[in-house]
Formats: sequence, structure tokens, C-alpha cells
Amino acid sequence: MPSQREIRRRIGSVKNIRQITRAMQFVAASKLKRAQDATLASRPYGHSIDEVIADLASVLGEEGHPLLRAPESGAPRTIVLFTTDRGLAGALNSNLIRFALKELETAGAGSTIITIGKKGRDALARGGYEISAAFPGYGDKPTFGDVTALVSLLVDDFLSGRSAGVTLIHPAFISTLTQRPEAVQLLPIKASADTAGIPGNQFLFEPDPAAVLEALLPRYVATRIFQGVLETTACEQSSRMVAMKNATENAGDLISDLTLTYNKVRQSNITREMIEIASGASAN
Amino acid sequence: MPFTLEIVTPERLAWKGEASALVLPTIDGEVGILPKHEPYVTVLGAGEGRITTLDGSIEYIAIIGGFVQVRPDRVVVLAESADLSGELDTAVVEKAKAAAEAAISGAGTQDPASLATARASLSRALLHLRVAERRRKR
Repeated sequence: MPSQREIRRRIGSVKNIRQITRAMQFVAASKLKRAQDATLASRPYGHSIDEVIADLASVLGEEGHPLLRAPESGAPRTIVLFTTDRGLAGALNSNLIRFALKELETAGAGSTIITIGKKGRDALARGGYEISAAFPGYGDKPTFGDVTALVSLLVDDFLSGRSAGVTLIHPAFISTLTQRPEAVQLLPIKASADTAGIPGNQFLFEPDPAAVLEALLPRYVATRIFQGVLETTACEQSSRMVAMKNATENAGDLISDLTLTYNKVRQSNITREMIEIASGASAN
Repeated sequence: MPFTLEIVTPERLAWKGEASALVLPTIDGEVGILPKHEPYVTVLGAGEGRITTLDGSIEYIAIIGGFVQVRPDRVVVLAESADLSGELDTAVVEKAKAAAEAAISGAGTQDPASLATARASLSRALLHLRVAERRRKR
């Protein structure tokens, strides 16, 4: 049986931990609100750019432009893995990394992986995988300008033929409790099937469709990546909020267990002392 | 007869409402859009856009890069950045301008990339300043 003082010390440290996890839970909750708002605010732009792309694709056709051509199977692809910079976010990062490695296996030989966020880079480096580029995370308040470097890298590689396609892997925010890793094909652009409403050939493109597409491409890629970043941020915060809530509850359970043990030890010590006094008195 | 106009940037919805006319900066000069314009897509440059609202007043907006898509039902401007003259704070813009000028003179000829970035932020600050001034004059 541990001594009273030891138990008291443990109760104290668990209380401190509970205070920290509770604070982290509330911080994550407020950051989650902001991340969700940012995700919502970016949606109209993403939606409109998808529409323009779909219209262009129906004008230019599958063979009309290299950006729209379906990739040959087995050609090397680039996989972009979104992770967080900081841990203590439940199983979010490990799920993403496991998912990405599975995706890497099915991709053609010579496929490369680009990581965003420290956690992805560290895990892949530990596993001995080759990372072609690693970007730090974009923090709690990502801005559109942050992703420019990654975008030009991806677009250059794709246009020069070094990679036959780009796949994004980021968590999809389903609800506060559920986030699922998701693979999205970014390049070549998949013409959306839902173009029936506005047949693309109605549109007049100035200067011409190919020039518009070329100007549109980096913005399209940037928008998609930015949305991935925002989604990752929202998932990070919600995942952390849930993990910290569980940790706070566990700490509470631990404290009541320890308090019970403490009281038992205290009681048995008192009983023992009483017996010692009583037996000492009767011996005299 | 007005049309519905939406000006969106990756970070937010900058303007939404009914407008009776719109002038936008494109890469080949300005383009004016009136109601019942034919379906049209073009690439935008950097410059000043003007929205004529229903009551006839003009909203000035600083637009940098992007696209305009004229659809049968509405007009969508997808700009990289869009700031209404009322939202621009002259003091903040002046500060950005000074910082960009300092960066240009500081960078010298050593690093072409940072020089280009500084030039871009200077021209952005100048545009914002011009649009912000519009508000004051009226």
C-alpha cells in the first residue's frame, strides 16, 4: 500500500493535468468555431470556381487540353498529405498517415509524397519513406496567400510531366465527433458530370477557352488546397476538443479512485495506531 | 432591370446584392456589364471595379486578379482579393505602402523573389489607397 503522502501527491498532479486538459478543451472549442466559419466563408468561391471549370471542360472536351486528360494507369502521381503541426488531437494524424500509406501503395511506381504539417513529415521520416517536399502547417488562421508556394510546385510538376496526377489526402469534417480521411483527385481536372444545367458552349470565353483555363488552373489548385487546409484545421480542433474532453473525464475518474484509496489508507493507519496504543496500555 | 451580383474571394463573400451596372478591370482593359449580358467568362487584372447599385450610387471596389462569370441568372466575380472602399482603412494601407517601399529599397538587387513580392505589395497598396480615396472625395 502506498503511503498517504504519495497518494496525496498523485491526486494533486492529476488535478493539475485535469486543469490543463480542460483549458485545452475550451481553447479548441473556440478555435473550432473560427475554423468552421472560415470553412463556410470559403465555400462560395470554391463552388463558383468548380462551375467555371466544369463549363470549360465541356467546351474543351477530354482531349482538348492536357489538364483535362485522364492519366495513364501506373504513372507516378503526387500525393499531398495534410496533417497538423501539434499533437494531442486524438487519432486524427495517425488515421491520416495510415490512409496515405495505403494510397501510396496503390499509386504507380515512382509516386511521391508531399506533407503539410510536422506530424506527417515526422511519421513518414520515421517510417523511412521518401518525402519530396515538406511544408510546415499553416497555423490556426490560414490565409489564401500561405499556399502559393505549394501550388506553384504542384502546377509546375504537373505541367512539365514529372507527375501524372495529384491526389489530396485530408480529413473530411463530417461532424464534431467524426472525421474521416478522404482522397480527392486534384489533377487532372475531372469534368463534373453536373453540367447539364448550363451547357458550357453557351459561354463566350475571352480571350479564348484555353487561355482562361491556363489562368484558372493555379487558382483552382490553390482553392482546393486552401479548402483542404481549412478542413484540416477544423478537424484538428474538433478532434482535440473531443480528446481533451475524454482526458478531463478520465482525470476526474482517477481522482475519485485515488481519493477512495487515500481514505482507506488513512482509516487503516488510524486503526493501526489505535491498536498500538490500546495494546501498549494493556501491556502496562 | 437589375441583376444579381456576387463578389467572392477565397476567404469571404465580399459583396452580394442587386446591381444595375458593373465595371471590372480585366487583363485587356475594362469591361462593363449591364443586365442581360450574354454568358461570358474572362480573366480579371488588378484595378478598380465600380458597382452601380439600385439607388444609383456607385460602390468602388479594389479587385486583384481572378475571373468574372456572367451567367443567365447572375454575375459572379471570383477575385483573389476584393476590398470595398468603405472597408479600406487609409492608415493601414499607408503603413503597408511604407513597408513595401522600405522592402524595395532594402532588398536592392540581391533577391529577385523578395523584390517581386515587395513590388506586388506596393502596387496592391497603391491600388487600395486609390480606391480608399474615392470614398473620401464623395
